Amino acid sequence: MPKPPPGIAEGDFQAALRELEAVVGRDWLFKSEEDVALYKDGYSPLWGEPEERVASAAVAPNSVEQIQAIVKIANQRGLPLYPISTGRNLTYGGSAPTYSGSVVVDLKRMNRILEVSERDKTCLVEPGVSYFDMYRHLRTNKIKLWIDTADPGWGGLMGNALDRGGGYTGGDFRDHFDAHCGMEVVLPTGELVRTGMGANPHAKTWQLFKYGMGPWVDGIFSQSNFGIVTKMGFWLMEEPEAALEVTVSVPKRRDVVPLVDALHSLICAHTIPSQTTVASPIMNGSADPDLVKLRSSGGTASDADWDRYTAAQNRPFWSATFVYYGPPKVIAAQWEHTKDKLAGIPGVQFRETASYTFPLSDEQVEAVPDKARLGIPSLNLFGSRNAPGASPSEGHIDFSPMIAPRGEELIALSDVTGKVYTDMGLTPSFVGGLMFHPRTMICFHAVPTFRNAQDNQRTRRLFETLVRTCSDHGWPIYRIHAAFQPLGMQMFGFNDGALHRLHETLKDAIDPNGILSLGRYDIWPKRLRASRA
Amino acid sequence: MASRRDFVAGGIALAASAVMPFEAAPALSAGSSRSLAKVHDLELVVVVDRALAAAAPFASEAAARGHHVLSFEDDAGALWMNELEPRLRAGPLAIAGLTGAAAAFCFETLTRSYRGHALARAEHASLTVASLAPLLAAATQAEAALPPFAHVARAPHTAPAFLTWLIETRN
Repeated sequence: MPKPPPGIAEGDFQAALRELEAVVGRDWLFKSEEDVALYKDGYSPLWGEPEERVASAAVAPNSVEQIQAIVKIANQRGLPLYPISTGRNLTYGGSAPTYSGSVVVDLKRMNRILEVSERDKTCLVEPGVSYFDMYRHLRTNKIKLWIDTADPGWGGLMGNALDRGGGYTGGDFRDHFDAHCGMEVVLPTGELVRTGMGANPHAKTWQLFKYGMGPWVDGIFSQSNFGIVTKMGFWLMEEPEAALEVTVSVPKRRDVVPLVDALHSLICAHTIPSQTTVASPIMNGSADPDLVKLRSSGGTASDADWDRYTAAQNRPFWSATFVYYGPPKVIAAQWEHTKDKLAGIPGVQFRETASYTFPLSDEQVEAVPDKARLGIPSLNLFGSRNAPGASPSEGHIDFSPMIAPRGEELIALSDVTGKVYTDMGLTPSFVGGLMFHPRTMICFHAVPTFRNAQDNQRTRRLFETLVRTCSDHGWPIYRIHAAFQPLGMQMFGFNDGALHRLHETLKDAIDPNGILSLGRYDIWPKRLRASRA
Repeated sequence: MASRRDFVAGGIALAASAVMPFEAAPALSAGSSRSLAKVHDLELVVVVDRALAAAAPFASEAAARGHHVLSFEDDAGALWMNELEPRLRAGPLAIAGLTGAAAAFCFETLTRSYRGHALARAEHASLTVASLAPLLAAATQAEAALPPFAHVARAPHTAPAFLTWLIETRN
């Protein structure tokens, strides 16, 4: 049987489980070893080690009232809770609690789409609503609205937004937290609050205007442990008439500087509406010995070295992919303007890779190669690795430094992280820059995880070195796997950790008994703080 | 790659060869509340990746046994969204599959929301056939669920060409 939470005697834990069972019913309390194992982090960098985060039990409520009853029991018995929505964000910790022994509050049964307004282009959902659920609902009901899905699309609107995830469509929608409008939250004390206009019981604008009256508190419920969000509103994108996916390629390594400058300008002017990915077909290439030598140079290979290699490959060094949405005439004008802005880069090439007119038939949907850019959730990220003969996909955690949208920064980050890998005897990983947000680039590296301690120890050393090195260079991460959240918060330590102290001051006020998501983003209740220092 | 027409026609002739043994389910731990597998009591749905050559004979066998067969190609997302999850919302199922490693991992992860437990799993080398019968036999004899599929970090040379598996959901 799973162990009870630290500090709670077995008898008291069993009594607490009986009380939880009385709230949700026998079918929705999970306490056997094999059921609790379903909440393990499948990509854990601590797999099988004593420090691996594991739950003691799980409970699946079906209503706000049941959540309030669970919270009441937790306060009375000092039971640590860890709420999840779909729990499938594996690269940042999945459904495993940040504090071992916590009871997972699995909100999967609260999967009701409470409202979709085609006229207002908004929705109100419960925590368990997945991207698949919402897409299916819109399509089945022929509602001409799009979601902005994460990739892979097996997560949920609320969980991804609260973790500040990103997507691929229009600029108002792909910062998922920024695209929310209004919340309902069960506080750790059990009190129910609504934010924004929702605090007015008669307001018809809860999903239309974010701020309501007084301090805007929604932000404290993201990447935090201050409440269980039970409803959340989102803005949805109106289905466009058409879409055009394009690629712009430039031949030389240093061409990324004018390329990114122009793209940034076009994004900020709303000429390019979508997420824009700047990748390197050269650096993402195969294990050619000459390429491995260049990538492993630790940043000492010159632009000329890279350009000589690139010229021999008959491929561009950089390519940028993005999508226009709207009426065909507007798209054509935006594309022409984009080409005008980029025409000054010698050797630049423009390519239209796909065009669509909406709505799509089911067959057309299935044939879309890059579904996330059209708001279609998929598992293609796994499928592409799943072809016969392909290498198996690996578990990984995301290392996600954020940089200013400048080509020089992208090159510098590539050189600096390349040296980290090389110094550890590893082949450097390079992905490129993804402009989820209009004024920054996120440069994901997938750092592999394993099911053995020896390899995972190396992964943890690599990951910690990447985090610290990039932070020192001014490239802190925007989000981090649960196992590394204390490290992540250390990187935001201005004025001797004043921000972290503020987080814990809030924790003490909002969660006085310290029951909710202990240690999430390194926010601990007072009673555990000394042992975590 | 097999086309949809090939899949429907079924019966691609393949050379049979060795199959890695089914993973053995661990013995019940003391105090476990799990009952024996209910596979026989549940509707069985069979899922195949039609991009895999072994899918066609496996699907034909399943159809001949009267099981509902669903297929996808590489990306299991639409099948999950439009076919499988609506069925799971109506009640527990047994789901047998012949897929690549990544899709097997996806189905195990997705069915966790329905208290899905893998009861049998076998890895197959390239150019082999796989039969539903031994998979069902292994699942019905299972005394406990298998640990989560450990496909992560497998070196390419040890990767199976495909897997057969069976998941039982309980909620």
